[in-house]
Amino acid sequence: MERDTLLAQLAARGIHPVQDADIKAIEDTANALRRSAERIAAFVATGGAS
Amino acid sequence: MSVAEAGLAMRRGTLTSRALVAAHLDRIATRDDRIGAFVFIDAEAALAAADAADAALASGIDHGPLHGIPVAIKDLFDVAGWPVRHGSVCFANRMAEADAPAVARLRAAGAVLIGLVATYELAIVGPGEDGLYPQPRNPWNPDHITGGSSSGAAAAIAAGMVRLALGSDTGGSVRSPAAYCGTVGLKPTNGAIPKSGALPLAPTFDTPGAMARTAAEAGLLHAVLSDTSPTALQDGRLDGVRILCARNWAQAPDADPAALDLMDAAASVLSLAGATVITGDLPPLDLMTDAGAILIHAEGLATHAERLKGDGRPMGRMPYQSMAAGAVLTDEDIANARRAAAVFKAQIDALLVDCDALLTPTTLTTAPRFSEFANGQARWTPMCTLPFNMTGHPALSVPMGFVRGLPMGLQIIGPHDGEAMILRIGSAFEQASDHGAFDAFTLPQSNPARVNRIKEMT
Repeated sequence: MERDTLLAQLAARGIHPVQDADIKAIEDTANALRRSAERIAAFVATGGAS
Repeated sequence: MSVAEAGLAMRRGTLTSRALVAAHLDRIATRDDRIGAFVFIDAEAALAAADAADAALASGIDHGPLHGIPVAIKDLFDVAGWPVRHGSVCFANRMAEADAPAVARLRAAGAVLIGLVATYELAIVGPGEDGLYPQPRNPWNPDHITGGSSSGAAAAIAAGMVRLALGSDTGGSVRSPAAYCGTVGLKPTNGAIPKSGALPLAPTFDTPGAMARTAAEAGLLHAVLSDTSPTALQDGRLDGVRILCARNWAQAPDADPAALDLMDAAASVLSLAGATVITGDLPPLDLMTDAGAILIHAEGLATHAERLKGDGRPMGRMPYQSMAAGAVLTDEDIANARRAAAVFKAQIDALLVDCDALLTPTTLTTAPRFSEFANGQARWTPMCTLPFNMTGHPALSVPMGFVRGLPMGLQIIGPHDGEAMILRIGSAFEQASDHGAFDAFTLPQSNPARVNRIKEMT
């Protein structure tokens, strides 16, 4: 996920991280969540066959 | 002295609740400086409650198995007049005005509330370095974490400072610290225990739960918290009980190989106790964890929306970073995760038609070192707990052995409202093994040679 996209999604909820460490850590977790969401979307698309 | 032994002694007149509570306070005074489990102790109120319990028994009023027994409360549940601050600077000056319903049930059952035990900040993630207080040390090795978020409860029990505590479990917060500390934790069926009066995180996942030294004691505490009758745990035999041992979860890529070895050994013990143990697969752990993580982050973001605004301060950095990331989830992501959760729940329910319980490791490694979280760095600690917050099934963690001197836990999952069965299996396993027979302080002092033998067994 592009950092600008992430910051825009955060800003839409009033979240404005300032420190680089915060942004980097949020980015890591956000990317992990996006990967989880993609796997779950694929799982659901198969009708729940794992 | 077990809860049952203490209760018997009180009823025989050979022990008073005051003496029991005073002994607990003395032990906390001598041990907790090395652990840091308690964040508030109300000795005066505890002794007054003990006196009231003694007076009640003397006048023929008996409130049941917890009458006069000390219980610690996670710093997440309101206790009237206590500084319940959820481990966060956000609540640094907070005083609770009324008892949470779960706490009120403990009082009504005659339990003596002895103090508050630490939580990871806001019961989200840890061990952070910028919460309201330092996180407790693992009594088995102070260089290692306790796990969380019910960190203080597990540490206090493992260190022999209290036998019972009220914890809460949103993704494993009762069971994983119990596993890391060699104690017992019961996440009951979602909805079994009232959760109001505790700080929410993910409301469809949040579950108060009993933490204890033994499964039998967890059963006594759970009965009070859920306003149900205590489970009769029988004689340790499991004849006629069918258990599915989920070896596929213990073989996850990030699992310590010892997790599978210990679970196989536990399965053998349960088989010798009379159970029919079969091996089989659960739905994929990684997919169930994916769905659970999406839902926890979505619900957690909603719960803490106001606190997360701006740069979230004074919230600690670890919970801020974790919860803020939920902003990248879309409505479609959340809907997909709920659909997947329904599928997984149905799959687990189907397995529990033919079996009375499922076995997995509670966590897939022993407790990590504090140094792995230095400078507030979050780290994934692989565990098998989150899926059952999502499906709502009850799950119990009991000690299943030691690896390189640190405990691991066996997770026993039952059907909805099946607490009695998993407590029975857990108790039978305890009776047939000695993994949870000692607290971390007593064992080394009593017989170092035996400690080494027990701690190194795999």
